[in-house]
Formats: sequence, C-alpha cells, structure tokens
Amino acid sequence: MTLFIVDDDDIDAIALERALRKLRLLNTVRRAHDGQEALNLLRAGEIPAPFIILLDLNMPRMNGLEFLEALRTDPMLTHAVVFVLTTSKSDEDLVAAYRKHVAGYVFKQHMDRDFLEVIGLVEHYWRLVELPVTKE
Amino acid sequence: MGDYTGDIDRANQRFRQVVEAAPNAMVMVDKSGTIEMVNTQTEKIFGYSRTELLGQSIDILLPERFRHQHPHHRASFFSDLHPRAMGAGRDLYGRRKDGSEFPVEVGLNPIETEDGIKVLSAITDISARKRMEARFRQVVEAAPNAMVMVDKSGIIEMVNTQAENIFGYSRAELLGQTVDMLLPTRFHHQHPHHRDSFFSDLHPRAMGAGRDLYGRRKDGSEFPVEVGLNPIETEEGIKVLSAITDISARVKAGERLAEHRNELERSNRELATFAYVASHDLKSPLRGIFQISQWIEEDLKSGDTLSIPSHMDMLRGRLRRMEHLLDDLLAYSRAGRQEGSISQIELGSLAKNIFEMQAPPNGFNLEVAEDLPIFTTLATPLEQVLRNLFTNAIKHHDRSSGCIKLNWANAANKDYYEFSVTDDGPGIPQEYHERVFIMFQTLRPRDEVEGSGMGLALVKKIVETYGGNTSIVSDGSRGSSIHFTWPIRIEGRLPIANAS
Repeated sequence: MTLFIVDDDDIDAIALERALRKLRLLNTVRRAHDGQEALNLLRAGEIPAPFIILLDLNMPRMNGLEFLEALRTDPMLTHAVVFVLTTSKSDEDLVAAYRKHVAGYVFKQHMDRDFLEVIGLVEHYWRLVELPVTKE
Repeated sequence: MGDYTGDIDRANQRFRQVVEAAPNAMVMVDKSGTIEMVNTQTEKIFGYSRTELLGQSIDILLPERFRHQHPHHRASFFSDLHPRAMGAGRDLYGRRKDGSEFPVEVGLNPIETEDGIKVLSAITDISARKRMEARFRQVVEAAPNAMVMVDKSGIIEMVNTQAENIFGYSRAELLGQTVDMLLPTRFHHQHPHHRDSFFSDLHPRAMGAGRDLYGRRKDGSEFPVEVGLNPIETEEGIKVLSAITDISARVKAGERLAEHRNELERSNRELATFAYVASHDLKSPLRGIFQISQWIEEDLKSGDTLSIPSHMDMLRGRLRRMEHLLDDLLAYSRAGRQEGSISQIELGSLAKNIFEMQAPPNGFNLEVAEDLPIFTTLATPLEQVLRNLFTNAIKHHDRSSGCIKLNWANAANKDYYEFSVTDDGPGIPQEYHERVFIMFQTLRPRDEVEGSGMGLALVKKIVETYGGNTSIVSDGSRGSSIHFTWPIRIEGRLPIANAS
C-alpha cells in the first residue's frame, strides 16, 4: 500500500512522513509537487498499486481540482482513492472535490495533531476497506 | 330656330350659375386677356365690383412686376390648350384693388364658345395655408433638436437652425441635396431601402431600433444620434420630418458609467481573490512555522540535535516567505493608484538603470532596442512593470547566464506602444499562459523557487489600469516574451481610483 502525497509544500510532506514514522508504519511514500507531476508519475506507472492519494488543492501549474478532473476522465486512473488535505475552507472547493468523488475532504485547521490523525485515518481506512485492484 | 336659341340661352344661363356658385373666384378672359365674366367670389377677394372688372385687362388683378410676362404666358397657354395649374413651381400672387398682394393658386381651363376660345381661371386665396406653412416652419425652427424634412426620394426640403449647428452645414448647402450627406458613407447603400420601407408603412417611429446610428458633420467627423421619424402629409405628397438628437454626451456618460462598473467589478474580484489568498497562501507559512517548532521540540526531546540547523533554516525561510507575501500584497493593492508625476522619460536609459538596480547575477545582461521612444508618461508605474518583468526573467532563468531584451513595436491600437521583455530562460508552456498572470500563481513549488507569484499579476494590474493589455509569446521550450501595451499619452487615462 503506497501513500502518494501530492503537495507543493515540503513541510506538509515532511510532516506526513514524520507522522508515519511515529505510528511505526512502513508504507512506501511517494511525492509529487503538483497535479501535473502527479499525473505524469501515475501514468508512467511509477506509483506502485495499491495506493491512496493525499491531495493538496492549492498547487502551482495544475491545482488539486484540475488534477481530480484529469484523474476522473482517465479510464486507467478514474477509480483511484483520493483524500483531499487542504487549508481551503471554501465551500466551492469542498463541493467541487466531492463532485469528483473524493473519499474525504480533510481541512488542515489545527496546526498540531492533524497529520497524526490523518495518517491514523488513512491507516484504518486501508485496513478495513477493500481497494479496487488495478487491471493492467 | 327659336328653340335652338333658347337652348343656347339656357345653357349659357346654367354656365353662369355654375360659375357664380363656385367656391373660388372665377374669371373668364378672352385670347387678348380681356375680362369677360367674373363671379361674386372674385369681387370679394380682389375688392373690385363686377362693373369695374368687366372689359378690363386681366393684368389689373396681377402685381405690376408680373404684368410684362403675362401676355407671353397667356399666348403659350392658348397654343397648347388643356386644363392645367398656372405657374407650376412658382409662387403666384394676386393684387387687390387697394394694391395689396396675396398668394394665390390658379387653375386654367380652356372653354370653347361661339366667339372663340376663352380661358376660365379658378383663383384660390391661399393666404391661410401659407400662414399655416409659416407657422409650421416656426414650430420646426423652435424645436430643441435638429429637424430635417425630406421627400420620398430623400431630398432635403427643410432644415432648422439646430440642424445647421449640429451638422456644420449652412441651410443653403443642405436644401435640395440628398439626405445621405448627413450620414456616414458606410450607411449610404442601405438608406434608400430603409426609407422605402418607412414610406410603405407610415407611422411615427424611432429610426433604426436597436442599431447604433451616426450622423456625419460637414468636416467628415461622426457623432452618435437618435432619430425620430414622422410622416407629414403636404400638398406635394408625403414627407418625412426627422428629429435628430446628438447623443454624444449621453453615450460618453454611459461609457464612463461602464468604465466605473468594470472597475468596481475588477476590485470586487480582487477582494474575493484576496480573501482566498489570505486564507491559504498567508496561512500556509504560518502553519509551517508552527509545524517546524514542534519538530524542533520533538527532535530535541529525542536527542536528535543534528536536524535542528535544517529545521531552523526552514523556519527562517518561511518567515521570509511570509514577509515577501505581505510586501507584494501591499504593492499589489497599491498598484494603479497614481504615484509620482508625469515626466519625460528616455525609456532605454531608464530600463538600464532599473536592470542595474536589480543587482543581476554575473552573466546576465540587458539589451535594449536603440530606438526606444522618449516620451512623457507616469514614470513610476512603468518602472514597476519593467522591474517586475526583469526580476521574473532573472529569477526563473534555468541557466547561469542569460540575455534579456527590451523591444518595442506599434500596437494594434494606435494610441499605445507595445513593449516586450524577452528572455532566453526555460519558457512558459502554452497551457500556463493565462495562469501566470493570476495572483499568487507560481509554476514551480515555492520550496524550489522562492516567489510570491505576484510579479505578473502586478504587471497585469498596472498595465490594465492605464487601459493596456498583457500577453505572452513562448513555445514552452526556450525563451518567453512578455508583451504589454502602454498609452503614448497618459493624460486622461489616469486611473479612476485617483480621479475620484
């Protein structure tokens, strides 16, 4: 199970990795800095399946919502499980993200604890939930 | 025989009764112009008694100035006998016994009698109608807008002083000419068609509903107009009386209103963007700082002091980023307010100074076109635009050396210069050409290239404040060229924010 972090902010990426270590989880972590890079990596098969995507919304080049749009129209990637992890409190962003069938929209409100909770959530999720198997 | 004579007498009798009963003055003359018969109406309108007229020359009923031509006209009537109106197109006058004159209309009828051809003239006093016409002219003259009356074929028959004023022609230059002369040339070919359709469905209406109408002055200049059309029935057939209003002032006021509305919409959009930005872009370094402080705490507790210097570096990085964002936001919100004053600038040397002030890394140089204009403008915002473009070109360059060029061309709009700042950096792919002008949009993560994403947004805002526009030319593989237009004369283009 790969955790694919799509976030332009190094600190958020590091924080997620630290949270993983704290919870003694040994999952593979991959990182893309924006939606375009993420799409490129996914299409190149660089992200080992099964994977869960943790997606930031505000990013350069291709933002999170544009990435979701591209993801859902790509027959090879449309089933991907995506959690949005963002500072955007905007209702429009929230509605738009769920319209693209995200598994959850997590608002990074608190400056502490958040990442532990998020990693905890994702860890529970992948233990209980059956993920689709990619047919190549 | 006796019966025959009686018939003639009776016929004569009846003829005299008809003439007597006619509503107009009737005068019968012979070939030499001698009056042979008149009716009571004739006595009334000319003021002579019947006995004073009979046997006299018809000339006594004419103003003296017409008398010498009259025999000639009479001769030509007798040479081509058929009923017709006298003096077509000329104004005719009768002369009363007291010497006063009055306008008349005269119908001529040849009558065959035993003693030869006579002419029976029916004379109508048209003073009342002439007075009405004069009153109509006065009303038209007194109208607050330009009035132009044309006939069915578009020939101008009447104009008022207002029409002379707004079109710049004198009355004499207009009368008898086609109304097309008051229209821009590009409308000439449709106008007869529109006129025909008006004449085929006569009722008062506004001309050209939904279209923008323009008048054309004598000097060739155009101005927006509103035209009301009214059919007028006259003796000579249907005419169109058009009331023309110069609506330049109203159009201008409307444009100004639209400008204000656009400006308001723009600043509202800006506010909305600002709120979004403040909640994300400004908060994100804060969250980072908080995050790092936790790591420092955690790592110190676990005795991992090696990670501390890199944490501290990151921490200061976020603080600097925060400061940059705030500075640039402030610059953005101020952009477009008038700063500095209008002065003459030499763009070439100005650009070189700005470039040197950036302290560009070794290996970077600026080439300016030799014929860059020297002109009078607001220097401060133009400097700000160039500074941001130069900074961008250097900051996003992917090599250790580069050349930045400042060129100019004539813009599509002749009131503007078009300048371009061209670099030989990595280029900007087509799909990002619009995005890069949006506030806080960067093409690379801030952790790679420190930047607020404000530079081009600021450039765009300043340029648009002065009515210009921005665009990018880049194939996305090598080099990009940012074009912007700048008013040649900046007076009158000062931003609305200052004007108020």
